[in-house]
Amino acid sequence: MAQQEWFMVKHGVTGRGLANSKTDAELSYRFQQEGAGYLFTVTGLDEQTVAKIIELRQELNVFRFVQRKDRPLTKNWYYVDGNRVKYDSERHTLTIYAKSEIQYIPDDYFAD
Amino acid sequence: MIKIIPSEARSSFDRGWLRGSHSFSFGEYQDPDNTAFGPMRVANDDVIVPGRGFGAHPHSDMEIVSIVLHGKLRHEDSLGNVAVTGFGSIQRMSAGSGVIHTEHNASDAEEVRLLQLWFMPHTKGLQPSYETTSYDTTALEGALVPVASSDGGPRVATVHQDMTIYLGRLSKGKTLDFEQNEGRRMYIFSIEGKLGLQNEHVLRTGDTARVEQTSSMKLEGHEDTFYMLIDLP
Repeated sequence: MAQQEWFMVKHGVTGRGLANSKTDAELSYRFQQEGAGYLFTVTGLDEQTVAKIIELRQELNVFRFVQRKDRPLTKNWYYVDGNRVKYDSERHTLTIYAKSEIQYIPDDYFAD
Repeated sequence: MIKIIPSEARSSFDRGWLRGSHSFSFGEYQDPDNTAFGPMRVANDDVIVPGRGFGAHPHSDMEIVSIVLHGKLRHEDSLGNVAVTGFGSIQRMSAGSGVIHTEHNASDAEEVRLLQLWFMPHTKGLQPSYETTSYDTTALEGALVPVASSDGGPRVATVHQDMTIYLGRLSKGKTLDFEQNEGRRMYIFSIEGKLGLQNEHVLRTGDTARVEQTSSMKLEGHEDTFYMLIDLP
């Protein structure tokens, strides 16, 4: 299986998908450790998507999925600080700060 | 003020492995005017076919109470908990700062039906936790049995919100009065049977009443009924 990584933002309550770098060719993201937490810097989002993410910033589920060659899919979920989800309209850049991360392998859990 | 929501007004779906009804915006059902009732955000009435379930997924800052109505539900989470619950048992998961979990039908022969209820906690960033409790199913007749509340108890799950979930049964013709403090809300759901409210309304199976600005409620069994009442801020 090929190696790949992608980034996803969903609404934590309804499960509604808000952003997905796998399906949105224009979406770019940078992930880095920032103090005790993690910072995502995202570009290429349309204004409607940004507005929805900002509206739902207190209830976001943010993921980084990592598929390594011949390894099970690893999911990294981030506990977002809604007060540190910001959009710089001049730079067209969304930043999302997460306080913590949980890494999990779905195959390790009970499955259908 | 009593707002009746008929069973058929819920968003019903059938995905083969999972069928049910959503009372609030959830999944593909999105209604900006129906996202919450006080701190209550989700009320899903789910049936999962044998051997299937929800794969590993995260939650945060949500009190999640699962009430199994029949069948067996298997829970597993990143805190190390594994539990199988059936009728008479309650699962409470406080997602807090984050937890990964799965929910599956534990049986390979029987469907499981559960009420999945989500509430916003009084405080964000809580330490994630999970518990199961069991209530006395023989005590339901003519009573409102607390199964989850902010105070908790030996047979009452502890939720991090100023609220109480009650279950009760009323035989046909029997009545019960419920009182709550001014300014609070009631969420009443008929699990099975016809339940009268204030001699004015009748909830059929699957119907809901969202009640505000009414601190006393007269409940009446129009037929043998099994119902849930939630006292909310």
